[in-house]
Amino acid sequence: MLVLFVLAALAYVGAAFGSLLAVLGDDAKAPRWPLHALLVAAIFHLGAIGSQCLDGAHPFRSIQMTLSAVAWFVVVGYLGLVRGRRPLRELGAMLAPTALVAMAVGFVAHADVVPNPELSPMLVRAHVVFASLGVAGFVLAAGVAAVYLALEHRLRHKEVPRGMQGLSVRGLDQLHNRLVVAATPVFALAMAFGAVALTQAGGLEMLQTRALELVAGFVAFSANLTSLVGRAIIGLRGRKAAILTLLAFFATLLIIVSYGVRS
Amino acid sequence: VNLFAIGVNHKTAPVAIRERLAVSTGPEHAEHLARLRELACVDEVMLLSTCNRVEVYACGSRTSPEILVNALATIRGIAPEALREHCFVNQREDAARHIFRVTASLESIVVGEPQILGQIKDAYQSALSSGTMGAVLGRCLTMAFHGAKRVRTETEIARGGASVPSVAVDLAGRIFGELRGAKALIVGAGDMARQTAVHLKTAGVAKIAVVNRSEARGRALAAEFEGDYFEWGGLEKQLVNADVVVASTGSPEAVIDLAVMKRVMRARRYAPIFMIDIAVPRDIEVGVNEVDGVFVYDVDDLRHLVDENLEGRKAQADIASRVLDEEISAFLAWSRERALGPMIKDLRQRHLDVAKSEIEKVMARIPNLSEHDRRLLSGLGPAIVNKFLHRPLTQLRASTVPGSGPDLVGAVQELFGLQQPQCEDPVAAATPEGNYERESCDV
Repeated sequence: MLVLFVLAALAYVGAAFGSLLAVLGDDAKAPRWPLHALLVAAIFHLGAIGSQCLDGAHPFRSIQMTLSAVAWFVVVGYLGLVRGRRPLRELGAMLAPTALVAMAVGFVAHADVVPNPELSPMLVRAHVVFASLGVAGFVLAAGVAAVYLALEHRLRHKEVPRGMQGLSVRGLDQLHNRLVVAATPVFALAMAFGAVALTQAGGLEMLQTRALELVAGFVAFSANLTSLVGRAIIGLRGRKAAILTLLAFFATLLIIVSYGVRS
Repeated sequence: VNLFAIGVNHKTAPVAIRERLAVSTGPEHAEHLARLRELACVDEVMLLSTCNRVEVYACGSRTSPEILVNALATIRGIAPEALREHCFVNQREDAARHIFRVTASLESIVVGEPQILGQIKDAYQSALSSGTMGAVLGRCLTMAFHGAKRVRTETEIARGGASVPSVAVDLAGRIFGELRGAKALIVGAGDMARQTAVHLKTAGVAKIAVVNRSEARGRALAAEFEGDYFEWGGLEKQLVNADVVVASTGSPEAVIDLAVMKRVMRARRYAPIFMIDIAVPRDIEVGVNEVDGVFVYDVDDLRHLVDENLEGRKAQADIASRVLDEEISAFLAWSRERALGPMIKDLRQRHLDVAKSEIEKVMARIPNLSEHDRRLLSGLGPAIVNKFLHRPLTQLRASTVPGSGPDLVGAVQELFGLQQPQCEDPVAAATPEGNYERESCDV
């Protein structure tokens, strides 16, 4: 079951990357592979739900598991909707990472149905690797967003900074957005793997002791997802997008500080 | 070095004089160079003619500033007395310094402006192709070009625009990175809008659209930039498509208000837009600048930035002068060494002749010398002379640097009965009065 979860998570991340790149690339003819990746993710997701079901955990047994099942239905509905029509790339870009998080929530809801403890060290390592990559991406994105805000503020107040040659507000905005595109799915994957590994190690009680990290992680993920989806749908960019990125960065910082204090 | 820089510029002469002296490029320029060389008895000459200066740079041991000024006046058909009133004269080190400073744009009205370097390069090429460019002036100019390049790269003297349109283009670069492919919208058909459009087009703006109440003027402006004219009613639609907007209508009230810009930004999906409002009264409502993604600059903002940039350039001029001093010192060292060349050659030859003569005497007294032994003995003379003269010549070269100690050149001439270095004193001797020494002196 855990293998199915991992495969589904990786496929969701691939689909998220592909969809986000297609959305931001403004290319009229987007590649089809993100849809294929989403289809593969949905198949593995169904396998994971089925496996949980065979272990005695009905898909609608709890709110969390229902969330996972609903996410699967939405993904399948989306795939059906886009078949032969406009690919609705913006929706796909939002759906893939959201379904990944929903699947992880459903998966860790019942510690008793998370077997394969021998895979736990592997999950922890994967969590650490993906979390490091995701946080690095967020830090870079936050740095660029901060420079953007500084440059934008100075230009708005009729100052031309002498020491910022070669930087432009449009360039900084695009760069920070691309970094968020790269970091968000990776961070979502790290969150999912971390939550499952924690559940394996100490059940839901263990998960509850990490409530602060979970909430902060969710805030960071939501802020970035809002920024990405907002840009795809209504063209959210500039100052507001930069502020959302900084919010995600501070939430990530809170997670790191919390880990530091605990260790 | 017998270097001269004479002429008129924006500091010494009014435009009425400068325009009478101005020389156009082409055959006339080459002809003037040939005549200058002949009339002024110079070996090398270059003529720089721009809207702010007409200057002659020359090198020769048989000329004088007075001859040069007379020659310039003659070829331009002006009375020498009239020219002398406004002519500056620089000689030797001052002339080199002047050439370096002009090339590096430190003597321009707008310090750091880039055009002068191109103009001097054109004048240099003209002299080169006319055959009036020689070793000294050529070296001076190439080192001046190097100095100008260093000034531009090692200081911030060229940073920031020095005019309203150039500042506007600079700002557009800060917002969009590059203007290649950008679309500009001109609202109104005023002269300032036209000037800004010229700069935008030069900076690479792909398309220019014009919206104006008067169709005839709007179409004329659009045609000038190969752009499109749109009726006044299409303003909002054009704002959605534009990256840079230049507003310069004569409207008594704002033509682009907050409500319009909010709608425009929604339609643009908040893509950034740069708006230059050069109209008085302003065409763009004040609050528009607060909309996310909109950057509005009015004429006062732009002028303020121009003033700041000009102040910044002046502050950088001192640093640039220090950079230039290194290049000038290098040129002067080269010219001093060049001037010493004939004397050193003479000194070395005398020593070689003595050594050769003495060795031949010795060889004549030794019987049965093999060819190999003869070659060995013959090589002894140059080897001893080189070793013997190494330190004296090093000291001699070093002594020519001003302030480095006693002048050994005169002592060596006296001791060994040598002639004076070629390029030193004739100019000083030819100068009738001391009133040619400093820049801006009346001639």
